[in-house]
Amino acid sequence: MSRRPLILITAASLLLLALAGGSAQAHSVGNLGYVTGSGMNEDGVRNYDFDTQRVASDNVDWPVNLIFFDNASINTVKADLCTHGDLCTGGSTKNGRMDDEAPIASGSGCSNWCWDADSGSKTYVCGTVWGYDATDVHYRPYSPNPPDRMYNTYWGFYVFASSHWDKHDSSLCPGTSQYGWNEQAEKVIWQDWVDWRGTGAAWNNSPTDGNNYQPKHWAGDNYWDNSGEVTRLRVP
Amino acid sequence: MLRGTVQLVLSSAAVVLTLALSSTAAAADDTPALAGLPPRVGAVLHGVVSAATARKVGTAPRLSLSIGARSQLLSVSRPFVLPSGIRRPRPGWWLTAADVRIRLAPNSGFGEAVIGVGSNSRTWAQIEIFKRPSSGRAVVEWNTVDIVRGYTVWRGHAANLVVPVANFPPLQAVRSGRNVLRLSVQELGQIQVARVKVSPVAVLSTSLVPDPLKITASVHALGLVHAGDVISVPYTLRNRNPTPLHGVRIVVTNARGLEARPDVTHLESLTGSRRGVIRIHVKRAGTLGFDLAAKTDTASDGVRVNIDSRAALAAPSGRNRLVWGLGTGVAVFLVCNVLWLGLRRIRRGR
Repeated sequence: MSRRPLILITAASLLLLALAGGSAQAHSVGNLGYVTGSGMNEDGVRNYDFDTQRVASDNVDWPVNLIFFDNASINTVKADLCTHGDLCTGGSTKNGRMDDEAPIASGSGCSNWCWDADSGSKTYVCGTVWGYDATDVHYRPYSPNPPDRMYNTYWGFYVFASSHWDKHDSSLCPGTSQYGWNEQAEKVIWQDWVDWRGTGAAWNNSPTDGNNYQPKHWAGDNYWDNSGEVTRLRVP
Repeated sequence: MLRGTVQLVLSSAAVVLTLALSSTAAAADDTPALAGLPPRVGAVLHGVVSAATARKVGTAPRLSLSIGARSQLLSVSRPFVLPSGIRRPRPGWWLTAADVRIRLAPNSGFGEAVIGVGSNSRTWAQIEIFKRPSSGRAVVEWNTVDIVRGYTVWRGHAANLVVPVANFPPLQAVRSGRNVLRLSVQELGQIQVARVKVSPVAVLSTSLVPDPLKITASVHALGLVHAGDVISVPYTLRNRNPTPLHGVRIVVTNARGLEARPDVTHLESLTGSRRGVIRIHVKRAGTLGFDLAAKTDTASDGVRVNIDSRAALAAPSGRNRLVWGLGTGVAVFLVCNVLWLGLRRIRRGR
């Protein structure tokens, strides 16, 4: 067979794909909404983070399942989890969306919804987590930037985060790349916090509801498992 | 391209405080509730308390922390007593205020320090300090976030900083009787804080509330629209409390290229659910997106606002349908042409 027809058919296929506008990266969910409940007061937080800065149920990355509160800021949370949980390695950047009514006077606040992009931090790539080889724990904290923290009279100074596991996420540990296990990632970070600050500073439930329950299931290379409960971690 | 129902539930909501800040410390002394306060924070609070009733209910003691050697996190606590039987005013809230004096060590390196002041394990003041190199000099930048002034940033070169802090504290931060004041310092990088002093903390009760209702539901990327389109998007406002909510304002914001108007912009009273429609006249072609907000000056729990974007999608304008139909037709025509040309070349080759 001549090469030309192949080239033409390939070009036509590419054109069809371009018209379809498909994206291989983002995930699709049926319960995109908001973190709600008595803790949110005047503020708003989307219950998933996003692949790009576009709110759409087929553009989500992972569920929001952590909240750091009382005296939290993005930098202190990252420093604390690096020192006390080995979550120090950067990852790829995703996007959180939120509305914080606190910064009203300066004009640089986020009182009408804004985005924050963050690559988050993960444990050693190709490390071992709960006996699973080639696995790392990855969380991404979000807050309007600046000021890198939110405030309300329920949570005090707070930031929220998504979390998941990565498996075989590097050429250093070849194998089929898989992602997800959100509930397990949340538990690892909760355990890090308990080991360091004690049970009085970490709760694996919250009056704030993530509204992002995901039953255990595979979707391509992604294993979804999320209770919808938001783990509370207190920064004193 | 149309998205599903956009829904937002906020238990109580938020904050539209317009605060006139006094520029003179002398003016602060005119308000009895502020008597004896350090001048900087007195000036900050003057505009707040003059706009509402305010009463000083007590004072927490001075607190200071000297840091000899570098340490990642240090804190100091001290109990204080407020009059027994005090209660949060309803409507209203507590206000806490103090001046925080910070001295960086002369040999401090670059980095970030986070200073927190709170009571009863609830932080209500957080100061971030960054020391950075800039054009061969060390620059110090510090900021606070609160519901009184919002996000405030200062910048300078000095090693001694005086930062006025004032905020509506979390509910448990002020109690009748025994309370515990806490000051914490966390150092990141090579920065070194030598000393932090907190002036006596004024605890005020005020008729202002930090969270008048403001709830927002957003529709983004609802669908492609063309100039001249007229679209109706239904919404629902629901008060889940048995008590009526008074003086509700309904506004559309962030509508680019659209003229979007809710059918009603003011409700005297809201009990149960109310359905309405936002009429949208498209001025500029693009992707339809906007926010709908309901606001009231009354703090309230359990209010929900709902935008049904599916309904809008279900009835696109005739012009939209025409544009989509033409676009799809052109795409199919192009693909067929490419395939047909390819097959012709294959046949010729044979």
